[in-house]
Amino acid sequence: MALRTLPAARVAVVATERAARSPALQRWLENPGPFEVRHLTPSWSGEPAFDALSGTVGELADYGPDWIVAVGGGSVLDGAKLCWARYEHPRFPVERLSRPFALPRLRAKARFVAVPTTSGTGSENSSAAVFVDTQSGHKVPVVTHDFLPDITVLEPRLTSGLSVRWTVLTALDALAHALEGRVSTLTNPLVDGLAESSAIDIVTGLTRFLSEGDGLEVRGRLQIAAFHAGQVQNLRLVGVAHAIAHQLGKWHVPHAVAIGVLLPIGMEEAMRADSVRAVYDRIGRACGLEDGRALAGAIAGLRDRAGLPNRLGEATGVPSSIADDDVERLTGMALSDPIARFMPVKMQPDELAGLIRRAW
Amino acid sequence: MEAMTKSLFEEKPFLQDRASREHRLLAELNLAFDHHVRHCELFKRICDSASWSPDSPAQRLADLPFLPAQYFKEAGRQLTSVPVDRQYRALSSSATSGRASTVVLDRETARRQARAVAGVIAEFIGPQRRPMLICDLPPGIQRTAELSARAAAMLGFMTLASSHRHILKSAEGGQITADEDVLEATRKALAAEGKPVTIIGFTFLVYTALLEPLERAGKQFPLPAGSTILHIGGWKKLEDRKVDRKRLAAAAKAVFGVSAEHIVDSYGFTEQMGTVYAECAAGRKHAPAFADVIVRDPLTMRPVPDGIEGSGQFLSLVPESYPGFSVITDDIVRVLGRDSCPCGRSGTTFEVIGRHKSAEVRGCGDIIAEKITLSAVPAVLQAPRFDGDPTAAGVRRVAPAISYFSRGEAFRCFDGDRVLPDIRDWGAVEQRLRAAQRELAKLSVDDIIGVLAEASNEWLQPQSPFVAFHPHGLLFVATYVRDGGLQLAADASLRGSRSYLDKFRPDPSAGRRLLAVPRGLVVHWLAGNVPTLGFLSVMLSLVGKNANILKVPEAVSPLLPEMLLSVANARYRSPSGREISGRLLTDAIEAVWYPHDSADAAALSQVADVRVVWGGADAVRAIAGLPRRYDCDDIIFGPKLSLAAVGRESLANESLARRAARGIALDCSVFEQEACASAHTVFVEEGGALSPRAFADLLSEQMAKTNARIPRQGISGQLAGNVKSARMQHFLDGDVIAPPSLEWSVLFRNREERPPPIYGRTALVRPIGDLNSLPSYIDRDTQVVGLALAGPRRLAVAEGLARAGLDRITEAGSMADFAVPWDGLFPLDRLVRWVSLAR
Repeated sequence: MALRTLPAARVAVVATERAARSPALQRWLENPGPFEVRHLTPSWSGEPAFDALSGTVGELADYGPDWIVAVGGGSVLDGAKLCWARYEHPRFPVERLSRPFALPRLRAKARFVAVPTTSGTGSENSSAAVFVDTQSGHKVPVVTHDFLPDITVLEPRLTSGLSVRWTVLTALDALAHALEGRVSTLTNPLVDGLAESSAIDIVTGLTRFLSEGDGLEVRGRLQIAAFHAGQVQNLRLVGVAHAIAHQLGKWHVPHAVAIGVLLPIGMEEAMRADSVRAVYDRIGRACGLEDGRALAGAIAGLRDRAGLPNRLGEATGVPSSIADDDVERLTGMALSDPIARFMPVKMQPDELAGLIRRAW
Repeated sequence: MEAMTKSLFEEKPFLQDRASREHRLLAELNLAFDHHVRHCELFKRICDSASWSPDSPAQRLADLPFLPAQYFKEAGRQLTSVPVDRQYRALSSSATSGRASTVVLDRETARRQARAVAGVIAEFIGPQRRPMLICDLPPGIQRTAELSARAAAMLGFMTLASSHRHILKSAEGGQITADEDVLEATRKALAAEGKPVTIIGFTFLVYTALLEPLERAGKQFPLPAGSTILHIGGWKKLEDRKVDRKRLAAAAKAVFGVSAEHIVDSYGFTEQMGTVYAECAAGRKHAPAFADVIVRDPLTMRPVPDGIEGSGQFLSLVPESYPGFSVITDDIVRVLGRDSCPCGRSGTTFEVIGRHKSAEVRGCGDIIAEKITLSAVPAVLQAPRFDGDPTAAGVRRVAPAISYFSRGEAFRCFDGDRVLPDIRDWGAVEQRLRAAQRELAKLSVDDIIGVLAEASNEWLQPQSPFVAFHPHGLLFVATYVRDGGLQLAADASLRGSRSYLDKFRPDPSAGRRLLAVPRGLVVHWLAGNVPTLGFLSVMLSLVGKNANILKVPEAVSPLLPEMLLSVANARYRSPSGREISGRLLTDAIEAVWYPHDSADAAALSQVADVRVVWGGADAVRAIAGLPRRYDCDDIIFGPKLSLAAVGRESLANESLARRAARGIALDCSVFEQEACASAHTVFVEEGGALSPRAFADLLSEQMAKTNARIPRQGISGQLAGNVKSARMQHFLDGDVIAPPSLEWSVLFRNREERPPPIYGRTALVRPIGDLNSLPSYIDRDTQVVGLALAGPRRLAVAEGLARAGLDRITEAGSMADFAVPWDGLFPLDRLVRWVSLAR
C-alpha cells in the first residue's frame, strides 16, 4: 500500500472501527512502515458538529503526529480535516472559521492523507470541510485550499462493503457535483470535460452496478469518477440541489438522500436555460439516452431502483409535509447560500419555494 | 505703539482692571506682531508656516503667535527686527545646561528693560532708591556688545540703587565666594546710617556663594531693619541640593538677620529680559500690566483653563528689537488667578511648578523608548515605579544583586517596606531555574503559546491598566501574541514546524528525524525602559522551553512585573482538556537587578547558555565582553534605525503619491516613532511628476490625518526641545510644514542627506537624485526601509539595499509589521539545539 512510504515519524489514522477492520486497512495497520502509527476512532458520528471534534483534537495534540490519515466517508474526511485544522491552530476562533480562506496555513505540524471509503462527497478532492452548527442547524463550510490532501488513496476494496443503497446514494451526490458544477456560472474550461466524463461514468457505472451487480471494476470506476466530480465541485461550485440540501440540517435529512430527490428536479429547472439544456442533452446522449430531460428521468429511475426516497418527506424520520413558514425560511436560506450566486438560472423566491414543495 | 507702551510703563504696574488692561495689551501686542513680521524675515517665515498673519490681528491674547524660547537658542541672532547699525548689544543666557539663548538689543529695548525692572521692583521693595549689594562679581566687561543676561539683569536692578557694591569675588581656582571684606565694610557703614539695604542676585549664587558658606562658617553680617533680599533665576539648580525657600530663608536670617517676609523671589528669563514676575507675600508671582501669562498644553499647544498646569507662554511689551513679545518656555506653570490676589495687586498671578520634565528615558539604543509621563500612567502601575535609587524607594539593598520577580511572585519593584530577596548564590538560582525548565519542557509548544495568548488577552482588556501602555509597544506585543505571531515566528524559525520542539519529526530535506531541544538557561539583558519589546525575546525563549533570567535596567518599568504576573495568573485549557497554569512558565523566570560595575554581571553571564542583549552600542559592547561559557550563543538586538524612500514611479500622479504619503505617515507615527522600525528620514526621488517638496506637503496632510486617528499621547521636555530645535534649524535653511503644536512635524531640506533622527513624529524629507544611490545611506544599524517603489526597479533597488546592510524592506505603511527574520535572524532557531535521528 502506498502509505508504507510516507516520510513520517508518527502517523495518526482517523478511521471508524468498521473501516479499521477492513482487510485492506488492517494489513497496513499491522505493518505500516518505518514509523509509528496510532489508530484514533473519530469522536463524532455522522456529519460532524464542531464541539464533537474535541475528543479527536485532544488525542492528536497528545500524540503529536506529523501525518494524519483519514479513512472513511465524507463525514469522517471532513471531520478529520477540521480536527487537523484545530490541531494546527488550536486557538483559531471558531466564529472566524466560516470566512473563506481565513484559516491560516496548515502543514506546520502535520500533512494529510484522504482515503475515501465511499464514492460520493468528493471531500478527498475538496478545499472545503463542513461542520454542523448545532445551535442553528446550519452546515458551515470551512474553505481553504490547504484542505486539499497531500495524498489521496483510491482503493476500491475499501468501498466494497458499502450497501447498494449507500453506493447509489453517494454516487448520486458525486453525479450532482459533476452535473451541477458543469453548468454553474463560475466557469472553468479546465474541468468541463472532466465534469462530463465523470457524469457519464457515474450514470453508466450505476446502471451497470444495479443491473449486473457488485464488482471491484465498477466500484473503481465510480471511485475515480467521484474523485473527478469532487474536483469539478471544488473549482466550479454546484447548483440548486445543493443550495437546498445544505439547509436541511433541522430535519436531519441525510445529504445524499436530499440530493437524490433534488438533483432531477433541479436539472429540470436549470434546463430552462438553453445552454444548460444543450450540455445535459449531450451528456444524456453519451449515456445512450435521448436528451437531457431523459437524463434527469434516468437519474430518478436509478434512485427509485435502489429503493431510495423520491420525496424528502419520505426519508426516515422526516415529517411528511412541510409548513409554509418552513418553506419560506428554507427558501431564504437557500437563496443566501454562496452557491446560489452561481446557479445557471436565477430563481425567484416563489419559484424556489415551488421546487421545495414539489420535492417534499 | 510707542505712545501706548510708554503710557503702560508710566502707569503703576499693578493697578489696572483686567478688561482695560487686556484690551490695551492686545492692541499693543498686535502692533508688535505687525512690526516684527515687517522687520524680521525669519519671524515672518515662522508665522507664515503657522498661518499667523498680522493682516488678521489676534482677537484674544491667546490668538497671538508665540515662539518657543528654544528658537532663541538656535537662532537668536537672526531673530532680530533692527538693522545691524542699530544693534546695541546681544544678551546671552548662562547656558549652564545646554545651549545659550541670545537676544539682540537696541538702545530702546535696553532702556525699556531697565524701566520695566525698576517699575516692578519698586512695588515690592519700595520706590525710594536705596543702597544695593549686588550678589555677583564686579563687572569686567560692561558696555560691550556682548553681555551675559545675568549681568544685564543686575544692571536693570541697579537703576533703583542709590549706591551699589558687588559682594562676590573670584577666589583662587576660579571659585566664586563672598567678599567678606566688602561685606564687613559695608555693614559698618550702613549700621552707622541705619538705612535699609537690598541684596540682589541670582537665586543659585545668593545661596551657594553667599548664604550657605557664610552660614556654615558661622559668619554674621546683620543688616539694618527693613533690609531685603531680592533673588531671581529660579530653583532648578538648587533642586539637587534639596534647597527650598525655607532653607534659603533660614540661612538669610542666620547670616544677615533678614526675615522671610523681606525676601522677594522673582521669575524671569533671558528671552524676555526686563520683564520681572515678583512673588508677593501670598506666594504668587505677579504679571505686571505690560505683560501676561497664558498656559498651554505642552503637546497640543492649546490654551488650558486657569488652574491647570502647562507650558507658560509669556507676553510682554518690553522687547522691541527682537520678536520676543510672546515666548513659550519649558517651564510648567499654573495661573492662580486674575485680579484676585490677597496682596491687593491686580494682574495675572501664577506659580512656577518646574521645568517640563526633561528626563528622557531612552533605552535599548533607541528601540522603543517607553516615554511615559507620570500623569499618563494609571495609579496601580505607578506605585512600583523604580527611579534608579533603591534606597530612595524604601528598599535597603543588602546584597549585590536582588530579585524583583521570582518564583511567580512580583516584588512590585521596591514598594514600601518589603526587602527584596537577595541573590547571594548564583549557583542556587541556576539550579532552581534548570529544575523549573525541565518541568516547562514537559509542556507542548502550543500549550506554552496558549498560556501566553491568554495573558495577552488581559493586556488587551479595554478597562485594564495595561491600556495606558498600549501606545508604547504593548498593543503591538499583545496583538502579535493573540493573533498567532509567536506560532508563526516559531514555525518560520524552526524549519517550518514548531512541532520539532515537541517530538522527533521528519526532516523533509533529508531522510532523518529532527528534534529541537531547549538550550537551557537564557539570560536577557533588557535595556532602558523597554519591557514590551524585550518581553518578546522572553516569550520566544519560553516558547523554546528555556528558563530565563531577566537582567532589568536600573530605571525598571512598572509594566514588566505586571506582565509577568499576568502570565503567572493565566490559565490555558489545552485541546486535550488539560488546564495549564502560567506558573509553569513564570517558575522558569527570575528577574534580577544589580548595580553597575558589580561582580554579579560576570556571574550572571557565566550561567547563560544563551545571552540575549538589548541595548545601545555601549551597553551591548560591555555585555558582550563579559566572560561566558565557551558554547554560549549571543543574540544581539542592538541600536537600529529605519527610513522610508519614495521612487519616482510612486510620484507619477497625486493619487499614487498620496498613497505612499499615507503609508509613510503611519510609519512615522505608530510606536510614537520610537521603534527601531519607525521611519525618520524620508528620501523622495527627484524627477517624478511630483517634486520632493510637493511630496512633503502631501505627507504633512497625512501626518495630520494620522494624528487625528492615532493621537499622540504627551511629550517629554527633552523631546519637545529637540523638535523645536529641529524646526528652527529648518526655518533657517529649509521648510517647516507643521502645526504650532508639537504633535507632528514634516521638515524639508533640499539637500541629499540622512540626518540624525529627531523622534516625536518628525519626518525629515530629503531629495535623492536616484534611488540606486540609496544604499550609500544604509549601514548595518539600519533595520527597515519602507519602500514606495513599484515596477521593474524594485528588485534591483531592494537587492542593493540588502547588500548594504539592512534587515528588512517593506511597503510604505508596513514598516512596523514585525515578522521573522527579525534583525537579520530567526531568533528562536538560536534558542534551541538541534538533534538528529537516523531513520
